[in-house]
Amino acid sequence: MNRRHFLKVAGVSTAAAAAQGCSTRRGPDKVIAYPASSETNKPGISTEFATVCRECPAGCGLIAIARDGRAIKVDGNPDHPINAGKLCLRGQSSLQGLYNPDRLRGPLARDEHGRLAPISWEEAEKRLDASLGSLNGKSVAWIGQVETGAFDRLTDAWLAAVAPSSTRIRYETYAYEPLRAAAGAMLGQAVIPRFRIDEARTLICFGADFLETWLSNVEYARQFGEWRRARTEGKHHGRYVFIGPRLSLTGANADEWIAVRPGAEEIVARALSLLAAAKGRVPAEAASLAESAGVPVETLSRLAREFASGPSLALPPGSAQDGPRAVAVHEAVLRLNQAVGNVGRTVLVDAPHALSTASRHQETMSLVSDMREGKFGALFVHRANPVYALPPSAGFAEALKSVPEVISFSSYPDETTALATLVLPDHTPLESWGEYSPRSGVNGLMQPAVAPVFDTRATGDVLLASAARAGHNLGAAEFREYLRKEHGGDDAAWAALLQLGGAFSEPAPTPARAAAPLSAPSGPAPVPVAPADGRLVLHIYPSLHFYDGRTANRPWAQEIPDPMAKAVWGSWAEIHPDAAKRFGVQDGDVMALETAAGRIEAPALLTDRVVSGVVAIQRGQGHTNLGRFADGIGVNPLALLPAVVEPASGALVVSGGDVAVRKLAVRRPPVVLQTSMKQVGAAIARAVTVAQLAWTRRKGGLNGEGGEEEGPLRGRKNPSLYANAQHPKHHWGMAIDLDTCLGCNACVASCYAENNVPVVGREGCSRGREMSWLRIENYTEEGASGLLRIQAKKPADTGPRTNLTRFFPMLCQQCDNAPCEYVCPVDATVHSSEGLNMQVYNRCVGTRYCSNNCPYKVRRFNFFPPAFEPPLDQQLNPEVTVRSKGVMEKCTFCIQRIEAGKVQAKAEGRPVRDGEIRTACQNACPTDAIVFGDLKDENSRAAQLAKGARGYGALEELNTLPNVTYLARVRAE
Amino acid sequence: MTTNGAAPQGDVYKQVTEDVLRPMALRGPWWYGGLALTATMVLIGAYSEFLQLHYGMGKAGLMHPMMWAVYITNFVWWIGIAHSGTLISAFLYLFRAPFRAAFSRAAEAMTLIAITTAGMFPLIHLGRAWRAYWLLPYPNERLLWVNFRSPLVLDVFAVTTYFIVSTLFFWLGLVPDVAVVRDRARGWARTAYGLAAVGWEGRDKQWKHYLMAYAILAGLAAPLVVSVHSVVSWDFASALVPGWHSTISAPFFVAGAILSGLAMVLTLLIPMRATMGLKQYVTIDRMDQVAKLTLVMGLVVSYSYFSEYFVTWYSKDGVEITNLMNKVNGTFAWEFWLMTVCNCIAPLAFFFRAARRNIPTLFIVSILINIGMWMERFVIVAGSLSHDYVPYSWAPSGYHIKPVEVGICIGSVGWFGFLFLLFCRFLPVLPIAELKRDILLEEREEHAVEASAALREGHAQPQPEVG
Repeated sequence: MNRRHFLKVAGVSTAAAAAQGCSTRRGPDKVIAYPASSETNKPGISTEFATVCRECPAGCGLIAIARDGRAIKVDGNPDHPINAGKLCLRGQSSLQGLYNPDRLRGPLARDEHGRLAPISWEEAEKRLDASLGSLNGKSVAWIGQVETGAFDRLTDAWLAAVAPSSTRIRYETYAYEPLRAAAGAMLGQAVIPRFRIDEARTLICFGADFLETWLSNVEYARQFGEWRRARTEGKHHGRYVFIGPRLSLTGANADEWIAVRPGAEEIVARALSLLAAAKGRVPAEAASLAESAGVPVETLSRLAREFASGPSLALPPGSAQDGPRAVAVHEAVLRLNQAVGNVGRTVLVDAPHALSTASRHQETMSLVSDMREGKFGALFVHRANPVYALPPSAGFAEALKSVPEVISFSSYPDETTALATLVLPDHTPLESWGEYSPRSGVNGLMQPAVAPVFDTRATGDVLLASAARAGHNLGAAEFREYLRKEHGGDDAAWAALLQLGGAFSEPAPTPARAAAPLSAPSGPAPVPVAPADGRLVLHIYPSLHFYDGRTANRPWAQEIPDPMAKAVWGSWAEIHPDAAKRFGVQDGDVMALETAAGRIEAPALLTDRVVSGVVAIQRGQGHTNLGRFADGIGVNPLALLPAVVEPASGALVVSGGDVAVRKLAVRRPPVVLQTSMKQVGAAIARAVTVAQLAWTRRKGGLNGEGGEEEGPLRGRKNPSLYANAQHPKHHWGMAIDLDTCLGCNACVASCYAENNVPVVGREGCSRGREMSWLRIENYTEEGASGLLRIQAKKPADTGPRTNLTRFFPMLCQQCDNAPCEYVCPVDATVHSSEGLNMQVYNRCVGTRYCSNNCPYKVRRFNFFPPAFEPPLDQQLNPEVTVRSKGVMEKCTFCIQRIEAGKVQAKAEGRPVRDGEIRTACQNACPTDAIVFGDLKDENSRAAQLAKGARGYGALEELNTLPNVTYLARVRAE
Repeated sequence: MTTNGAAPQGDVYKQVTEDVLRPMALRGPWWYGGLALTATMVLIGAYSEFLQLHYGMGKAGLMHPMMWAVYITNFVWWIGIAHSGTLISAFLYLFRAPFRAAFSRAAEAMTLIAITTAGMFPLIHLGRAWRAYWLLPYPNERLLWVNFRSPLVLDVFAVTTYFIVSTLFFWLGLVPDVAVVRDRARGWARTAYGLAAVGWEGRDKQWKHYLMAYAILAGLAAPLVVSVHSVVSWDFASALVPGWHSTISAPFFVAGAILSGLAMVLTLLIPMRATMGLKQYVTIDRMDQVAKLTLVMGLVVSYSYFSEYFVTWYSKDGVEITNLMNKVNGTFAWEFWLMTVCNCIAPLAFFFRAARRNIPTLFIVSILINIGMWMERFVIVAGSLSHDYVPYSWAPSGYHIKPVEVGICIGSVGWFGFLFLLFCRFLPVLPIAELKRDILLEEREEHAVEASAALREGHAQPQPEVG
């Protein structure tokens, strides 16, 4: 052993000792014996576990990154066919589900005072056996989410074993019943079809929020990204037209928004079918339909021509539009697809979505009436929260009182669990074994990434043990074993399956069906809903952040601003300025909304992103019993819904009812983080039309009027006394494609998780102290009326309009001539030789001068010590410092990932490969809009993209020499 | 004061000494009450600062994007006030302005106290005030150095230099007067004043050296009047925030500082002359002269405002224009218009002789200018920051000042008042030697007039020089 080697070894062991010494976090977990490191737990080294995201029924594949026994990050599983490595905000927030401070820490049962009090698992099992033993021949009800595979079968087997009879509800808030019913009528199979956006050219969406919650938002966002990218590359000239009463995030990504009143979607769909079938002529019926929908027939005729001309796709309305004629609308849309031969090409019934098995609303309602009649001796609730997710008028909470034993398996204290008599908390998905198959051919396997954080038990284990105690052998003692047996095969195959994250195969191609002759629509065309005087039509839409409300107790979901309203921590009612004028309402005034079923109060948010007859409220807030971050925040608009169902499918009617609106003498403006949606002066988010793009390509860049230099260094002349930044080895940079940025906030959530960004709460946000390192700015193009908080002269109501929304991810631009750097008196922010603008937290004294001088306003100051309520602190990334009060922080392109990549490359004795280092935001982005790389390497993807004709630097006229290049959005004319 | 023909020569000089030193013995209930009041204010400020240190800067109303607001405003405001001391002492001394002696001592004391007050604010505003010493370039084992490109580091040097020179200047001016006090004091006070008087005996040689040293120091200090506030202005001018990034900043800030300094001199001297029996030294003529200077500086400041707005308009720079319009007609409108009324309109009263010679008017206008100059700095600091390049990050409303900031403002005024009250009782508030010299010069002038008249008449010999 020579001296150098000795030092190396010593260095390593000291570092290891230091790492242990540094670990000051305390939790209820066991101390890990470092010498006994296993394959899945090497001290200080991250282990990746492939599993499945169960935050919604989409079933994306997850890679959970665990280190020293803690899950610190989740990313998408690149091998999973649904999400291909991408992950949305809700999926990112699963970490805060795992480490949620409000999680149930062990079993609970009603004590003599009627309160839920902690008990031991032995006691809990006795209580469970007792309640099963005292059924007296009564039936058992099980209400749980849609499950597939082992747990699905186990539930059935257990119910059959322990109960004389049982009813099982596969409860899903968004069960897409009208779509299933319409598919049954039109396509012959009452299932949820698969849609191929990426195979289409012209895209018409009748309101489905396919970039937010609809069916499988990451999958469709990916496809949509492909569609946009192909168009920008000139592979097609399709347009995407959004039709609906409210411009959702999904709509904001359209080229054109045809604003219609609620209920007019069906009329437009019918008109389009007629026009498409008429091949250029304008049938009289189509003209009258267009008139009744308030849309010029020329617009529809042009759209129908485009739609019929090639592979196209019409997407149905979303869950927000489940009105009294929901099935008819869906049928009209499917008929439109049929008319041009899309079925079998872009609308596929080859692999029905798992949601097709969800119980229908009618089944739930008959369960409720059975409960009320006392038919059940016990009700089991597993990963469902019907008390919250059903309108109060459904009477679920009341019916629960007629069930003697309500046993909840919930991991969280939700509204249903609050009414339970016995709570046997399940692990959260990241601690669980399981499987989920969102559609045939895709079966994701779940494995625990961490040991259970609390004294919870897998429900599968509880069921198996309970059956065993009752003398039934269901095939295994533990659920893990049960799952393993279901899959068979040897251990190596099983390990390989777990490593991959499941078994995946593409469904066999089915032949495309020929364009069917236009079938006659059922019944006469409806008339659009027009509200009576003093009333507005209610539009309740699903939430990108909260889905149906289940993720509302996660700080990230609350604190990251809503993509459209840019509001946080609350509810708001969107109304059109014309309607606001009618009711004398100003921005921020609280309005009382009232129906026969109930009354809510919400502050008005004036926007021309809804038509004037509508008041739109997001679902998912207004919890009473979900935890500290959700309770008392906002309102639940479901309180307004009467128990009305759609006649054809039996689905709950969510939209189309009207509400009485009254202005209250209270002002409580929602906390909106974006002050202005209009760009003044400098065009920060730029766009080009297709024609301009061709011109710009010839000219060589957006700014270069024939400039010689191209790409990231284009026009970089820095007249300065000081030496220009030198980049001897690497020059890290980023290219952000505004064309494929959907504004979905996935990157923001990923950044929060990766970089230990603290959450400041409603109070902090209202005082402009949010800490987000990366934000999505939402601008409207020059010339358009501002879309939010506007004083527009006369915003249009219904009819077609060019959609001028632009999303702009703003993060530290890592300027090579950084204004923040020269003003810092203590050199706490300095430039690295690799082009990074680094922040030295422990040198920072907090003059905040750097933030003042940052034109992008991306620096964040710790006004207070950061708060990570235990056990949320267990999620903190040990690679990133937790900043103390009084220091500045900001994005550094995930410098910890850069360093890890460099170390890896060095250890392997090779240069860093392009694409090997990925920032957290890049990893999450469903459309690959963010590309990080080495600009020094001419062939890196980032450098290639930055060189493109659409590239420009934000505010580059300030000579900041940013290392982030934005690629202008492309607009169809 | 003009010589009283009835009194013998020696008595006039004695009278000056008596008049100036008399207040030092007047430690009545009002003075103690004032001390108690200002000390309480200091305690309020200290408690507020404790809260801020303990809980974090979030206790103040600071937010994105207004990362600087009240504290930096206070800093610039106090530094501005600190200006008139050196201006009056050094410039007026060099120009031999006749009304200097009436103001110089109080103005110098005000300067010194204002700098110590101002100097606290950069520390109060730091996120980690306990690390403030990192702003100093001191050798350390980590080889960490300060960033000399940062205007904040320049600030540290400019303010420190100004403080040191002002202290020396103040002390040097005091030496002959303190010697007088020493000669009358007994016990420990005699020792203390003796130390300050550094063995002054009033010998010719000492006077010769003293006057030479004073003139040199005045020459050294004069450029500081320009440099300190220029450097402070670079905190803003060298940043690229619209409303800050302007080459006019340095002269504009200096003019504003002089205006605010003069206003503060008026604010302090008016009660002083009334309560300390100094009316025959700080005469209404002297007040008139200061008011004229205030008027001139008010006009210069108004011109600076105008030229800045004009350039903003002329630039056609959308960001600059929206930034200005946000002040004129947006979230900082009332601050902006208060500033305009106080700084541009109020001094115009001094065009009228009657206003310049009316003590209540002088006092009210001086207070208005003090308020206006605070508002000016506030509009520049917070108002400009509130509305810059990225519309997402514009401040949705004006600045919401929080209790700790109010407490610290109160504390700073208390601190200033406390020290000034001490000054009024422990040091001669007017320069005794200088007043006597002025009397002497006047007499000499009278003698010269008489002598030349006699010469013209041809029946008198030239008088020997009065030593």
